[in-house]
Amino acid sequence: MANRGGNSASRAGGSAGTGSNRTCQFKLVLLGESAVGKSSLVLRFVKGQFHEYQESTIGAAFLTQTVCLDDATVKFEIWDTAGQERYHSLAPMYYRGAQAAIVVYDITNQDSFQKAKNWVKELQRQASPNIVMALAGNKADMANKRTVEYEEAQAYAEDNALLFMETSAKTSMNVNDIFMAIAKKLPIGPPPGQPQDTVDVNQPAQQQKSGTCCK
Amino acid sequence: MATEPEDEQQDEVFEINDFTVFSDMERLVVSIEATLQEWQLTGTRPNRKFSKGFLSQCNWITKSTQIAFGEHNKLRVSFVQADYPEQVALKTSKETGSEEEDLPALVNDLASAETDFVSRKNIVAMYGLSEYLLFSPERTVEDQISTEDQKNFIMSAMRTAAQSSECSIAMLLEYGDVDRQLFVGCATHRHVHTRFSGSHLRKLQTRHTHLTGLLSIFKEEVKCPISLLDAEDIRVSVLFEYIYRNDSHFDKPSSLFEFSSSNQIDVMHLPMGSLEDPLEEFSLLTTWPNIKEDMINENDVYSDLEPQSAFNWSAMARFSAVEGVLGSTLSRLLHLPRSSSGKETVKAMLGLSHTDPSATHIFGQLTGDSRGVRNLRIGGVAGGMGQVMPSVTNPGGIRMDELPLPIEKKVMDDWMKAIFGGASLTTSPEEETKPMTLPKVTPGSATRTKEFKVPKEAMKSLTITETEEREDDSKRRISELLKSCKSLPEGDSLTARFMTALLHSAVEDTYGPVGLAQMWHSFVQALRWHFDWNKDLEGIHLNSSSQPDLSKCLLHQKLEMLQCCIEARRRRHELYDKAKDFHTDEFFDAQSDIDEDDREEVKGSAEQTGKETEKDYSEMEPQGRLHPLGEQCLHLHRNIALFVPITQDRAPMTEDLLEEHAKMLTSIEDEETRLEAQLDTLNSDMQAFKAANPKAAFEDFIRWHSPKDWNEEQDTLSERMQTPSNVWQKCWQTALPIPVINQARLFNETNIAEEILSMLENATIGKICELSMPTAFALATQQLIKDSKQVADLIDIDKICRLVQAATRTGRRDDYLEALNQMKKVERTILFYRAAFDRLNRAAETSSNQPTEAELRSFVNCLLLDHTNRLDTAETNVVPRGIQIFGGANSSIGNAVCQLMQPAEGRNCLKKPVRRFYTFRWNVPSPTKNSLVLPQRMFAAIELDSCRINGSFVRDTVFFIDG
Repeated sequence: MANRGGNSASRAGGSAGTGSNRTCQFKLVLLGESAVGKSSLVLRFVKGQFHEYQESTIGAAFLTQTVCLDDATVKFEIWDTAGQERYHSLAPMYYRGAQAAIVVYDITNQDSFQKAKNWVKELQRQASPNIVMALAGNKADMANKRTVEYEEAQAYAEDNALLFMETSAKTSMNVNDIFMAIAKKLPIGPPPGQPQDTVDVNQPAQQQKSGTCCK
Repeated sequence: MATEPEDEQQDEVFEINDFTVFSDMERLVVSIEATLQEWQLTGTRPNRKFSKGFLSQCNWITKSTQIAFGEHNKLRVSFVQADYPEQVALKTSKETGSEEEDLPALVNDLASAETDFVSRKNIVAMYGLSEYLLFSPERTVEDQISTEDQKNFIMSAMRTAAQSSECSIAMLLEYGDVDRQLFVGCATHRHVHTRFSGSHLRKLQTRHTHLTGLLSIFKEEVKCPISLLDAEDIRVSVLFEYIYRNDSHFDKPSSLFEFSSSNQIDVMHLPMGSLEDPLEEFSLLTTWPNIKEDMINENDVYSDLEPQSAFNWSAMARFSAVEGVLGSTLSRLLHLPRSSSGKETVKAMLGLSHTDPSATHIFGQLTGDSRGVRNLRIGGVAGGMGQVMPSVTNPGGIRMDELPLPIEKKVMDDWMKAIFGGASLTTSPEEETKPMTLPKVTPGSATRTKEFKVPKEAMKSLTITETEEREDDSKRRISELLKSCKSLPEGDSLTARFMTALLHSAVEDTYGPVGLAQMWHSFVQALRWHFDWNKDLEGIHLNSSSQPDLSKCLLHQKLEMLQCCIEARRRRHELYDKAKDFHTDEFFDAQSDIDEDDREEVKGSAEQTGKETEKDYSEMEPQGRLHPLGEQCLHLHRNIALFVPITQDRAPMTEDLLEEHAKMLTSIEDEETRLEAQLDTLNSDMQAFKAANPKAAFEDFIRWHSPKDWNEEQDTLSERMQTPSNVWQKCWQTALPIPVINQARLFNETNIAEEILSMLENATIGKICELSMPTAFALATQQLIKDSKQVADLIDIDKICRLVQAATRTGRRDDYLEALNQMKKVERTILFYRAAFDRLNRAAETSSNQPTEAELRSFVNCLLLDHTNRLDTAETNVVPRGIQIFGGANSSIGNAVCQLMQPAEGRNCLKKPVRRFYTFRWNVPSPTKNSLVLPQRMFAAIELDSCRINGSFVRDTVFFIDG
C-alpha cells in the first residue's frame, strides 16, 4: 500500500539507446527563506535566464531539467517552493519522497542563514534518510554586502555532511555546478537488464538499494 | 575420475588383448585408495585419550566425496573425526619406544567408556569409534546396497584398499534401508583385525530384552578363550529412557491458551497461544556408566535399575511444530487478499448489500445449510428499521443483531467500548435509546462472554520503553527500530486497541473472515458516530501541526485525518457560534487570545454588518481579527492598528492525498494554470486580511504575509512586488473582504471525513488486510518482545524488528512473509517454553523441594536449545541425549521432573523405561588364550518392538598353537 501510486520518479527510464547510458529521475526540492533566490537559481539552471525582479513564488513551481553524467542521464523534477512562513506547512508535501534538496540562503542576510539551518534540521528529521542535501549561499555577486562568512557556512555544511557552494543566479556562478554535484551523489539505478521495479526511489523511508554511485 | 569415460571406451576397443584392463573391483579399489591418499589417512593413526565428556560435547569434522561404484552407482565416502585439540593425541607407541605391541589407535577408543551413548554420531555410540570412514549410498534408493553380493564386493574393495595403503581407520558400509541404520565394516592394522557387525531386529526374543540376556549374547560372541575367573571383568554402561507422553490423560497448562476468542474482550493483548499442546514427549534419561557387570542385575522378572538410583540424570523434551495463534492470524492477514474472499467487501460479507450473492453464500456456510439461505433475512430486509435508533453499530437502523454473526451484539458493544476508551457508544449523547433486544444464538456464534479488562493501567505496559529494568543497548536499539516502523505510534492508541481487537476477531476462521469483517464494520460505524457527534477519537493524538503523521501507516494517518476533521468542524462551529452570538448579544464566550478592545470592536462590527453597502469595503467594520501585528499600523492610515486575521488552516493531508495533490500539480502543463490551482490559499488569506483590516492596502498585506518583500528603510515594497502584472497584486485587487467563517472552505472536513469513512466502509477484505498489516505486525512484534523475556537468549528479536521495520516501509508481501516466518519461530519458542515450564512448575508446586523460578527457567531454556539443536542435525539419533540434571533425583529440578513423571494421581511414567541402551566392554585375549588382549565391545538398544545390537570385535590374526 505504501508503494502504491504513481511513482513517476521511480521509473528509472531504462537504457536510452547506447549500452550503459541510463536515465534516472529524481525529485529535488528547493527550500529556504523567501527572497533568497530559490526561483532565480532554478530559472538559471533550467532556462539559463535571470530576472532581476523574479516574482515571488506562490505555493510551489514545478520544473524539470536533464543533466548528463558520464554513464547516465539524470532528470531532475524540481519543486521550487515558496519561502513565506505561511507556506511552511506545505513543505512536507514537497520534500516527502524527494531524493535531493537544496537549502538556499542569502549571503547578505544572516536571518536567512539561520532559517536555512532550521530547514536542514527539519529535513534531517523528517525527510528520507538517504536524501542528498546541498546548502547554497546565493547572491554571491553581492559579496560586498556579505553578512554570512563563507567559512562559517562551510564549517556548518561539513558538520552536517551537506554539499556546499556559494552561488549567484545573476552571474550563474556555481549554479550548474551545484546541481551536477548533487547528480553525482545520487544513487544511479541498477545496470540495464536488471529488473528495475524493485527500486522504489519515491519512497521516503525506504532503504534505497545502493546502486553504483558515480564519482 | 574424469577420465573414466575414456577408459571405458578403451575397454571396448582393446578388450581382447589388454590384460591391464581395470575390473569394477580394481576401479573401486583405486578410487578408495586415491581418496585415502588425498585425505592423508594412510599409515599409523595417533592414539587419543579423551577427557571425560569430551566426545559428547565436541564438534565432529566431516570430509566427504563421491566415488563411482559399478557402472551407474555411486558411493559417498565420508571421513568423520572428533575435533580434538592436538594435546589429546598421544604419540604412537613406536615413537614412545614402549615395549608394548603395536596396537591400532582404535583399540583405545573401544576400550574407553567415553564413547558410550554419544548421541550426536550414531556410529560412535554403536561401535565405539572416535574416527571412521563411512561408505554410504549416494542416492537413498538407486544406490542402496541391498544384496549380500554388493556388500561383499564393496567390503573386499575396502579391505584391499586399506591393506595396500596401510590405512588403519575403521571403515564401515551402510546397507539396507536408510532408516534402519545398518552397518558392516572392518579395520585392519598389521595383524590386528577388527570386525564391525550389527543387526536390527523387529521381533524380539526374551533374551534381547534385559541385561542378563544381552550379557549372554555378548559372551557367546566374544568366546573368551580363558577361564572367566582369570579374565578381566565385563564392564557395562546402561541408559534408560523414561518417557512422559503428552496425551489426553494429562491436562495442558492453561498458559498455552491465554488467547481469547473474539468473545473475550481484551484490547491490550494480542491473541497468543496454541490450540494444540506443543509438548510431545518429555524424557528422563538415567545412566549407570561403566560399572562391573556383577554389580547390577536385570532380568525379565527383577531389576536393580531404579531411576532414583541412577548416577546421572538428564532430561529431554520433544516438541511438535505447532502453529501459534498469533502467527496463524497474521498469516491469515497476509493470505486473505489473495483468497477468494479477498475481493469481497465487508458489507457483502456481512450481508449488508443485498445484491451481492456471495453474502448469501457465506451465510449459507454459517448455518451449515446451503439451502438455508432462503430462510435467512439478510441485509436488514426484514422490517423494523424505523424502530432502531441510529447507533454506532447500526446507523442505518439495519437489524444487524438479527444476522447470524460470529460476534454477539452485546459482546461487540463491549469491544467497541474498550477500543474507544470505555465510553458507551450505543446511545447518542443526548437521547437514550431503548435497550436492544438480545441477539438470537446462532450456530456460528459463541455464547461465552467475559468481563472485559479495563485497559487504562494495562495501556502503559504496551510502551516498550516503559518496561522497567535498565535500558541496555539492545533494548534501546529495538525500541528505535520499532519507533521507525511505518506503522503506529508507540504506546497506547486507538489504532493499537482497534488492531488488537481486529486480530482477536480474525483468530476464528471456521466461517471465513466474517468475524474480521464484523469487527471492522462495527469500528467504522463507531468512527462515523464519533464524527457525527463531533466526539474526539480517544487515543488519537495529533501532533502540534495538526497534520497526520506521514511516518506512520496509512490506517493510522486516516484515523488522524478523521480526528483533524472532527477538530476542524468543532472549530468551525465554535467560530460560527461566536459570530452568531454577537448578533444576539446574550452571552459572549471569548477566546483568550482576543483582547478586550478587539472584542468590543468585533462586537460593534457585527451589529453593523447589515447596513453596509457592497462597494465601499473600506468603510466596513473589521471582522475575523486574530491579534494585532506587533505595534504596526496601516501604511496609509497611521492611526489604525494592523491586525492579523483569523486564517484558514492548510488542509491536512494523508500521504495518499499528498501524492494525489502533487500528481495533480505535476500533471498541469501550463505554468499559469498551475499557479492558479495554488492561488486559493493566498486568496483566502487576502480575503481574511481585508475583512480584518478594511482600510488596509496591498503593502499592509505584504508586511504581514511576506515581510521580506517590505523594505523598512525606504518604506516601500520590494521591486519584485511592484512589477506590473504581478500575480500578488492582481490577486489583491480581486480579493473581497470575507472573514474566514464566510469563506469557501479550503479544507472541507465533511467531505474528507465522508471520503475516509466510505473508503473504510466499502473496503474489501483484501483492503482491510492491506491497511492492517503494518499495525498488526508492529503490535505483534511488541507482544513477542514482551512475552519472550524468559527465552530471550534463544531468539533474535533484533532480526524480527529489522524485518518488520523493512516490511512496513516497503509494504512488500515478501518482506512481510519473511518477517512472519521469524515471528512464528519466536512464538513457537515461547509456546514451547510455556508448555515445559508450566508443567514442571505445577508438578513441583506441592512438594517441599521446589525449584526457584530462575532455576527452572534456565533448565527449560536448555531443554529448548537442545531441542532446536536436535532439529538442526539431519541424522536420526539412535541414542537420546538430554540436558544433565545435576544432583539427579535429589535436586530441585530432578524433583520437579519426578513429580511430573510420577504424579500422585495418574499414570506413573517412571515404572518402566520405554527405551533401554547398553554398552558392554571386555578386554580378553582373542581369539586364543595366547593372543593379544584386545577390547571387545557390544552396544544394544532395546525398544518395545525393536532391538538393535552392534558389535566391535578385535582379533589378533597371528596364529598361535595352544601350548
